[in-house]
Amino acid sequence: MINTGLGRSRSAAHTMVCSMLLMCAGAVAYLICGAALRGVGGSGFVTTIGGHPWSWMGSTGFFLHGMDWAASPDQALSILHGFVCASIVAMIPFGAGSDRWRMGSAIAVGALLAGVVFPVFGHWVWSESGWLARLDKISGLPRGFSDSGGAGAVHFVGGAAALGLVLRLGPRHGKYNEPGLPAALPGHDVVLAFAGAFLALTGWLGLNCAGAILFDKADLGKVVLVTVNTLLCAAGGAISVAMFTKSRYGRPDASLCVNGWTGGLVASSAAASSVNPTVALLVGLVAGVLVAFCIEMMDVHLAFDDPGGTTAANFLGSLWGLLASGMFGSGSMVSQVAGIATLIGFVLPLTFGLIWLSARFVPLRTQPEGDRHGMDLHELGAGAYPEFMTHREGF
Amino acid sequence: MIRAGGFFLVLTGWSIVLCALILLRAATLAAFVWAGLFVELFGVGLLIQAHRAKSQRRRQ
Repeated sequence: MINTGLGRSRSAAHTMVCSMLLMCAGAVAYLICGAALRGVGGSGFVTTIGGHPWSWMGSTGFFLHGMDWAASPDQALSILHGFVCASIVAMIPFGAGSDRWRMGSAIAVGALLAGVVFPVFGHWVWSESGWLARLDKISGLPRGFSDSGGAGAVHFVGGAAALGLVLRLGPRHGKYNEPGLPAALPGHDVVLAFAGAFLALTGWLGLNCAGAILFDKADLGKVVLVTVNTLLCAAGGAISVAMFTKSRYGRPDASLCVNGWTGGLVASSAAASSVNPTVALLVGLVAGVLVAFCIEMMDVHLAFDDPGGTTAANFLGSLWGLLASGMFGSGSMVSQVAGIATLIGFVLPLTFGLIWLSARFVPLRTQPEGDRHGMDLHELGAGAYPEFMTHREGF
Repeated sequence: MIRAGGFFLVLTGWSIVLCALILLRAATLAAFVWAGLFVELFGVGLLIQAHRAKSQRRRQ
């Protein structure tokens, strides 16, 4: 809903259909191979380095074959959590590619993210045998890498894919004029974007609490703290963006407030389980300013056309949350930095590589007619608002 | 060329971090992990610069 609201009306139905199909593709890819690579089957590819086992990925449980659902409720809940995360990972990048990304290519990229990239990094962070989770034992650090809400495993993966798509797809038709100045292409329905933002909060509360219960073994009191921190991070993000845009442009910017809210929520995924409420508010405030500043930089100076602000909110928000968890929370700073370095040094190139590979088989960008007429008419044959067909060329 | 250099630095930075985690302990480990991260960030900066140069050439 956020991506649809912040996109153009002539691609609204396409964005909604693609978001639904991406969730489906993510769930199916996770069933086929994602859950196995994530390590639900128990065994995996392990190498012994320096006398310690380094588990790289799971190797059994394709199609969830051989699962005994009744034997281990914890494992069953972990699989459910994995399916939800995989669906979200597949859907995140579409905000950056809307208005010009082909449906077939979007589904292929979403399936690769949910079936390969997310499970491998998720195994490193969330499995008991994962090497990032065991940095305390492997490298003698005070704690392993901490990311119970999935800031790295879910949101960074989605944000990295969004960045790769922004680079490969190029800007929308009419976004930049001849001297390279950006044109304003405002979202067609800010109310829809805000409705999506409010709905996102409820989902985030569930996901952060589930992560804390599953991976931090949180008790009831800690779960309440995670809930409060998640809300405060989102509040900080929205407040700081409203203040930032008020001081910079004279008025609070509605669409940037949605991005700030989302950026705060993304940061909360890493920080909510390890900081106190005051710090959670601070984390959200900083996340909001970072997101707003990054969106302006990308739009004006770097010529990155990201209609949904997905790259800034997910890529930058997750890195800030992970860093803040080490700086202010109970996590180990060195472990958090090692995790961030792994995200940038392994996940980012892997994601870019998979997008490049999928583009060899299915073209990413739509044909020029799709750019001009909108993705609704071009790929679906009908618009989202047939009573109000008032599109002009270039908008 | 700049883009290839950026990718190389990103991968090199992660290699530094991995080697540090395997071989080093305590303060030295922390220093090399930070160093690896900064090498990666430099690589990302080069990737962005390469994209900027490409889009400027396209506009001209």
